[in-house]
This record gives sequence, C-alpha cells and structure tokens, in this order.
Amino acid sequence: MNMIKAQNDQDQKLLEGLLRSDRMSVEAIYTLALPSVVRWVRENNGSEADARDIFQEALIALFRKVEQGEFNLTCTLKSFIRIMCRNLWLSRLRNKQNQASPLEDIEPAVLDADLEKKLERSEREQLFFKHFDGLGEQCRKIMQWFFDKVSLREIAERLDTSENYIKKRKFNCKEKLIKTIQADPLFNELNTNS
Amino acid sequence: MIDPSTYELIEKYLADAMSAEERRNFEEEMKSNPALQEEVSLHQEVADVLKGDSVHELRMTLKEIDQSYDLPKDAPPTAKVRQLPFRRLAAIAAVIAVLISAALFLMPANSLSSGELFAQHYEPYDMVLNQRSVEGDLSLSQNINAAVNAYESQDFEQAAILFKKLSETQNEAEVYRLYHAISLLSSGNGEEATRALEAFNTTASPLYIEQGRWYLALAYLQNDHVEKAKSTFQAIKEGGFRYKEAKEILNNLK
Repeated sequence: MNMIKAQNDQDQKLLEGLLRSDRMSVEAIYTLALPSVVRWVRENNGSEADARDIFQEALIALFRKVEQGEFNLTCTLKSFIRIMCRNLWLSRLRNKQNQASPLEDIEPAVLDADLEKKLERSEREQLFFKHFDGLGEQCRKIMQWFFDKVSLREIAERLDTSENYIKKRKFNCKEKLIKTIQADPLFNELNTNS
Repeated sequence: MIDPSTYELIEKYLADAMSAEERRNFEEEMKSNPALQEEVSLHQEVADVLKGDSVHELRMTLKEIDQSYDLPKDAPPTAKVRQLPFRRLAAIAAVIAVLISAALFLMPANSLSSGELFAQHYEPYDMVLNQRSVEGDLSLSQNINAAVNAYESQDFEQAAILFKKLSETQNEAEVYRLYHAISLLSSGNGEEATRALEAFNTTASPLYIEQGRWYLALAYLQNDHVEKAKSTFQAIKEGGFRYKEAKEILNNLK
C-alpha cells in the first residue's frame, strides 16, 4: 500500500495517477510543470530537448520514490518537480567536462537523500533503458521475466519452447545487453564522473 | 569480457543459489579481481533498474505524451496577470489606472505605459527553495517553511514579513533578501521593494544579480521611474535572466 500525502487534492490525485501511469494525470503534470522547467533550462545553457529529457528522468525518479511506499510532499508538486529538474540539470552541467559553466556558483537545493540518489543514478538508468529497448522483442521478454524472477521452465512454457533453448537465449540476450552498455561511451564517462 | 562459466557463476551468486563454500570462494575471488567485482555490480544494477512492469509502462506513457505534448505558445501578455491574487491585482490595477491617465497626455500613441508594461511582464520569481528541516533548529525550519508556504500560496504580505525576518537572522541571507524584495513588489509595495532591491543589487552575488536587476527594473517601472528602469533593463546581460523580455520592454519604452 502506498501512502501518499500531498498538500492539496490536485497534487494528491496527480501523484496517485503517476503511480498508475495514468495518461491523463501524466499529461496534467506536463501541463503543470514542463513549461517552467523548459524556461529555466533554456535560461541556463540548455535546450527544450534537454529540459524534456530531464523532466522524464525526474518523473521516473519521483515514480520510484512514491512506489517505495510512504511519500510526504511538503511543497506543491510543481515546485517539487522544478527543484528535481533544477538539481538534475545542474549536475548534468557540472559533469560536462571541459565546458565552462557560468552556473558553478549555484548550489543544488536540498532534497531527501534517497531521492537525490535516485536522481544521481537517473542518467545511468536511461542508458540501461536505451540498450534494453535496442534488444529484439523476444530478448526483451525473456530478460524482463528473468529480472522478475520467473523460472526458466515457466518462461519456456510461455514462449512454447524448451528450457534449454531459453537458457541459451537468456545468456545471449544478457551478454548483448551488458556488452552494449559497456561499449557506450557515456557509460565510461559516467563511471569516471561517479 | 566474461566467459560463459563466469557468467554462470555470477548468475548463481546473484540468485543466491550458491552453497556456503561456493559463495565464500566467489567473494574471495571478487576481492582480488576488481574487474569481476565491477561486472557483478553491473549485472545487479541492470537487473534492479529493469525489473518490474510498472516502470516500463510509465516510460511508454511518458514517451507517447512527450511526442504529442507541445509547449503552449507564448501566452499573451495579459495571461500572466490572470493568476494574480485579488489584493495584488487591485494594487497593480490602481497603479495602472493612475499611470494610464498620465500616459494619455505624456506618451506617444504607439508606446505602452510603464504600468502596462509592468503588468504585462511581472510575475513573481519561481520558488527555488524547498521546505526542509535544519538539523537541531526546529524554529528555523518552521520559519523557512512558513515563508515558503506564504510565498507559494501568494500571501505576499506575510511572505515579505517572514523573509525579512529570515534575512536578518541567517548567515546565508541573500536568497531570503531577494524573496523579501519580490514579496514586497508582489504585494503592491513598490517603493519599499525598490529600496530593498537597490540595496540587494549593491551586494548581490553572480548567482542572483540578474534576477535582482530584472526585478529592480520592474519595480522602477511600477513606480514610473522610466529612465532608471531603462538603464537597469540595459544592464541585464545577453543571455541572462529574462534578457529577451528586457529587450522587448526597452523597445516598447522608446
């Protein structure tokens, strides 16, 4: 059971909707907060595309935080999302090496430590998602079930094939996934920065 | 690069399917082999990120909405005024009424009055502070939270009082001084806001100087100090906070 506590009914409903991936709620969150995030990022050396990327990352981090259980929102949802995006963008700018940033004096706002950690990992997460999405459909299914701890026998039944075949496929799919992640230049960059 | 047998071991280790002895040996091996340790961590991390249907559902939803969601076109200038609370709106309307009647006699027909320009461009600065708890100082935490709440709920008179108090007691007072001044401006108290912003700008750090200039220029506009407003808008650097709007205002003030 997720205990969500927001400061007003609208934010409460939007957070509950986000947790269900409810399309109307997520659209409402876009309308509520994206324009001001885009404006701030543009004012701070970024583009609309940058702002849209970090906006999605922030919503995924927020989703994961809410999904964990108790979540108490102590300011408005709009402000909270803006603070998350602001921190994400500041850390993104700082990680771009060799690029003098006029924002080096800006300190990120203080967020809950666990959420801060989720934001720090979000660029790595996006990288994993990207390479996961690049796998074939069958590979994605097998990996997804495997990560969800479905047994090889059950996976074989679902795909109407043998357990032995699934075992080999799982090895190949995972090897491909891990190799493509490791070969991505961003992966090394993130490892260096972390 | 890992060979299939090491892969098997990693899977077995992460699935917690090793015997106690196998586990001990594997952990010993990891200690002396950082590459193996990294590989195991990566496998674990990837599994943690990708497990569960719900996050993938959300990603799909986000992707679809992001493709279809267009940012609103720049709202017409009056749109920004729509959300102003009644008290502020009344204060601003009174200023505009006086300025417009003066403008009818004094300004060229195609220019906008300073009051109109103020109303078109003014909106309070986004709240960048979040609520927090300051370790060991409950009353300070409460004061910060109360000030942020007042500002966010657009009770600017109260916000002005609370931010002033914070700026007098805090070491890191700069941002509170800025919010104090903006709260004054937002509650229709233009003259006091002007003094507060003038003082703020003499010591402002690079972090807030541009915001300070923008709001001081607007405060001058609100008080019909057109020349001072012009020179302050001109001081906003290219690419700085609200630079484009400042240019637009300067064109309209000509």
